[in-house]
Amino acid sequence: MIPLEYYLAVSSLLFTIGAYGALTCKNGIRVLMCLEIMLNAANINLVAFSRYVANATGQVFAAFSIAIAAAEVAVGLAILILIYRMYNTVDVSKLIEMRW
Amino acid sequence: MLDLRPYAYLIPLLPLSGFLLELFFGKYTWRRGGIIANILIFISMLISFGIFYNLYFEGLPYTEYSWQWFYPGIVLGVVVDPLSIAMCCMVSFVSLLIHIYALGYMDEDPSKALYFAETVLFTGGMLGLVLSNNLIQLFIFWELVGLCSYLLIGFWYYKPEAAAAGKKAWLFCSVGDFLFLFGIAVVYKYMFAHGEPLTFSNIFIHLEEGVIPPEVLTLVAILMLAGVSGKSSQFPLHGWIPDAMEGPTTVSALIHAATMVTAGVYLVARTFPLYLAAPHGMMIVAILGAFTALFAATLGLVVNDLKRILAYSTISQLGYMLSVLGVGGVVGAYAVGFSLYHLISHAFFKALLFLCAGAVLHGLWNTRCIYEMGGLWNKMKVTAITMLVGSLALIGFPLTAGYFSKDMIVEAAYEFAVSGDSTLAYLPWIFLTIGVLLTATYTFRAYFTVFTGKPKTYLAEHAHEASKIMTTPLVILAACALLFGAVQKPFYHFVSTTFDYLNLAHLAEMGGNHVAHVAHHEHAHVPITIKFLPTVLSLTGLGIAGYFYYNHRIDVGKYITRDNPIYKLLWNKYYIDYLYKDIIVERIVVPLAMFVDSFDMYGIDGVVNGIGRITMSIGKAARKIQTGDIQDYMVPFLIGIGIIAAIVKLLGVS
Amino acid sequence: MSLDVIAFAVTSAIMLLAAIGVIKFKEIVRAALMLFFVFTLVGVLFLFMEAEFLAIIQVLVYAGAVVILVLFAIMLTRREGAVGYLGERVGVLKPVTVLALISALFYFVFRIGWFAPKGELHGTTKFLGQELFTKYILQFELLAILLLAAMIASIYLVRREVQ
Repeated sequence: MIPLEYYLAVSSLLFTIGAYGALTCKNGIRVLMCLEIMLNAANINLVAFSRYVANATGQVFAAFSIAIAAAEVAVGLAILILIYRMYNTVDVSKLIEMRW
Repeated sequence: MLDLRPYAYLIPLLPLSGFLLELFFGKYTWRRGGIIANILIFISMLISFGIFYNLYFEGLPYTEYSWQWFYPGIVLGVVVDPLSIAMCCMVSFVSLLIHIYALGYMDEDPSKALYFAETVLFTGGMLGLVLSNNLIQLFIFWELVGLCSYLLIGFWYYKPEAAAAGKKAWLFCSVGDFLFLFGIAVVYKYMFAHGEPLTFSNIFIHLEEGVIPPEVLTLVAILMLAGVSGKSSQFPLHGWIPDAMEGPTTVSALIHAATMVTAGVYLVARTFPLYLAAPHGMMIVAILGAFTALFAATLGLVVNDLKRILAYSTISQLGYMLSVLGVGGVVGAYAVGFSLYHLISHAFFKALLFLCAGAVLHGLWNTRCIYEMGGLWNKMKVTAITMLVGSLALIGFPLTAGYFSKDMIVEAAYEFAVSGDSTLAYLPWIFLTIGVLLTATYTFRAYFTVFTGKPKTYLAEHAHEASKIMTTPLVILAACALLFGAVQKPFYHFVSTTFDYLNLAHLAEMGGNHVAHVAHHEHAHVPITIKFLPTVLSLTGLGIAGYFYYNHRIDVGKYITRDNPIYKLLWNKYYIDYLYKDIIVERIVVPLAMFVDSFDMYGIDGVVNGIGRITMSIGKAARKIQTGDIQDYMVPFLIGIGIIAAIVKLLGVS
Repeated sequence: MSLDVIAFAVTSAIMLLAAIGVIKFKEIVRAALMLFFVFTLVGVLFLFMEAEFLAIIQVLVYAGAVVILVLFAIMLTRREGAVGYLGERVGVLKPVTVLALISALFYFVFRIGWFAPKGELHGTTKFLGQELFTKYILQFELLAILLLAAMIASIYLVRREVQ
């Protein structure tokens, strides 16, 4: 049996990578991709705990999370396309209208 | 007759309400204003005389009515006793006559309703002042009449001299008022544990117990005297009255002859027991009053403006009134009677003189220099005769009211002199006696120059008599000036009973005064020569004036030129104005004011504005956080998550 | 080191490398491909954790649909010379925050004593179905409405006005 800590460590690393990407990447699509990575890391966490407590509630939660993430990606990309139409770029460092 | 004493508060209240009525509705009344004022003052006068009847003929007891005010011990009250009622009667009567006169005098003035609003406010204030039964209420009315004086002197505010004169009056009075207020504070400090701290009757009752130590009493006396100097224009705060002649003549009559300036004398009369009990208090008052009397009389000799002559004469006569209160150390309560008698008779003839001067000015289109007048005897008969009556009364010509009052004062001064234990005590008598001579001289200098001789200018040739509405008050006042002498003895008896409830003899001893007869003064032993000296001197003065000025016989300018040092001294009013303005104000007060102003501008405003500027600069710096870049916002987001997790871990929330 | 641990380690390593690849690849389509790998390998990880149904859902939804969506979006927002990574302009705060984050997470993972597995899981698919349609039926229906709303929203947002 693989110890719980290993799964948690992996999910933490994955989450961190996703966070770094979300903080850093210029391309908006890339940011959304990193967001998905973070969501997946959370899902790993949920399922790992579900396995170790022998309670399937965690998996139910993860299933819901997957579904909602899919919806969110759809809407998010739609917005990104709209932004592209308006500003002709998806570079998030250029989208700073709400500056001081 | 109905007991009017509980309605005494109406006496000031009616004119005060008249202020608002005239202010807002006056211009819609008959001939653009003034009727409301006259009616209300007339009613006040009726009530005053009614209460006088109550007190004198029916012998109703003196009383006071008070209502609790904003602080325990501070009251609003009316005192109904001979002193206040005599003043009320005089103020309302003379004020009414002057108001009637003003209906004619101010007829063409565009702000007629405003004028009457201010004068009726002033009358109400004065009536409130004399009816006050405590210091703080008196002070409030004191300031009120000062305010009205300022407003009315500068009534023609578009004339720069008038505006400046109003300001000068207010400033001089304010100096005095400030010290007066300080004196009230001192009294309060010692009295606040003993019943109503500032009510007169209460203060006087506690004087005997020595609640206020003697040195403090003297201090209070001097501080209140400062207020009196300001209001009644004694030396050194006398300088505002000559300038105050810039206002309408009726204003001069009302304020500076009959009523406001006598407020100071009234104050000393009202607080007479305090002055009795203060060591040296009496002496200070006597010398101050006498000195001012002489001082002003000297200045009256060189002035050429008719109203200014009368102004200096007012200052001088106020000095007489004040000094007789001072010498009251020897005559006890009768001093109040003497002073008040002279005050009332002075009110009559000074108001008469001012109103006559007003008639002269009115007829000569506001010419004021006496050397531009002349020969008005034929042109303005009524004015000339009434002014003659007034002048005779002023100098104390036998059988006029002035004779009775002024002679009494000089006699009392003599008694003071002989019963005093220092040569200082002779000073009042000396000053007052010389003052009699000078008074006669300058008064008739003015009279002869104006009314006898040939008219000097075109205007003087074509002068006309004033209208009936203006001459009638003149005649009435002249009659009073003549007839008031008849009531001398009863008046003294009546007024001197004001302080019967106190032990004046004891108080006088506390102040180190020798009192011959405290409560009831029998004619003391004054040598015959001294008794008639004032009369002789006044007639001499009349003769001198007549010698030089009757029909403009001698041109005094040939003998005394502009370069004469004495003349220059007098012409510049002893350089006192120069001292005040150029030295004290320019060199001391203005730099101080500028320093304070710059402290306010840079110091205080600097701090306040600085706080604003700091806030703004913090804001300017802090807003750089909002880069607009969402990825920059995620950093605190993640940090926040970490902090929440740490908190959850620390709190051990399961 | 039993076999499953090694297998797990390898899977995780590749997954993490692919995740790094999402960030690092300059060409965005390659990044999308890496994303695909991440999703698939997460599904494998689910299999390791005996959550078969979830693994299938993961592959179907994420690797199957989301990646396609991303690719479509890439296609519609193409520009010449689009760069992926900020490069040297990252600044100091972001890496530091991320380092702090990983340290905190590792602290929680390793210093806290977790527990041994409690028991065997039942057959998950049947169990999941039961839970979903009895205990969590409300959330299930709400999810359906949410998906419908998301669908309508994205269609509406990106349609072009018809002339």
